[in-house]
Amino acid sequence: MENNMQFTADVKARSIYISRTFKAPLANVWRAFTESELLDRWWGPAPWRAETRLMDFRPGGYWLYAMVGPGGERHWSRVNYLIVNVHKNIEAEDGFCDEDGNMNLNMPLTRWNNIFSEMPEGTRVEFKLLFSREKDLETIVSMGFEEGFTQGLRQLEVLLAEG
Amino acid sequence: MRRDVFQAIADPTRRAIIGLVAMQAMTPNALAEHFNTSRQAVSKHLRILTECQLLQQQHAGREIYYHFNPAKMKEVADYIEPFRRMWESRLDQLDNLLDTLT
Repeated sequence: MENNMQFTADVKARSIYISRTFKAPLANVWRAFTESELLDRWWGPAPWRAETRLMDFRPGGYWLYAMVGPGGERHWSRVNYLIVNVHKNIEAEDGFCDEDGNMNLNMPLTRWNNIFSEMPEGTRVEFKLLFSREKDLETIVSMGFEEGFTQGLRQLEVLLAEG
Repeated sequence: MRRDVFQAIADPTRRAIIGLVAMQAMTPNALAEHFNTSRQAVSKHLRILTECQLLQQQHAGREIYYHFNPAKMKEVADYIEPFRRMWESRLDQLDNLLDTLT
């Protein structure tokens, strides 16, 4: 599959930058990020899938969903939408929670800025992830990587374990 | 331990030490001259960096030289790799989904 994904991790700045351009109109890409029925179809990296419990897409609203594993296990996450500029960008914070959406504040929060741009070849989506709270870099790197990345890593571990 | 490596590189002084040693092997005294901290503080950083294998010691007579261990640094990059692949998989799925939207 053609792939123009850029992925840059900057441990020092505790940030991750991801960019990819899709051959699709901006309006469709926007829908895929903002309509839970669509999010559920791509957000969970296979064999995991995202399952929305509540979607309230607006500044101050949130998305509550579970990552459902192949064995039916559920890891709940919540995305708090902070700033929404339609067809331009979404700023949000993302963390772990229980099934009722109560955030687990012992786990790191990830700050997101998703930026959408119309390009000649399609729509570019940039993800700027900042792994941070007020804590110092040491905590963020050691915890942020170990815990904040757990979701992705756990999924990948399962994926690899299943061959 | 990975955790130790990340803790080690989270500290700005230790990153500076890695930067210096990566260019040439150095003794603790030579390193200490680059920093405003005490010799003891530099020794502590060196101990942490050595314990997590980012640096390696080599004895030359009475001197100890510290070398950079690039293989260990690669582990840090490798650690991020699963996260990168998770994103790749996720965005591939988005790509496929977008093909179905009209």
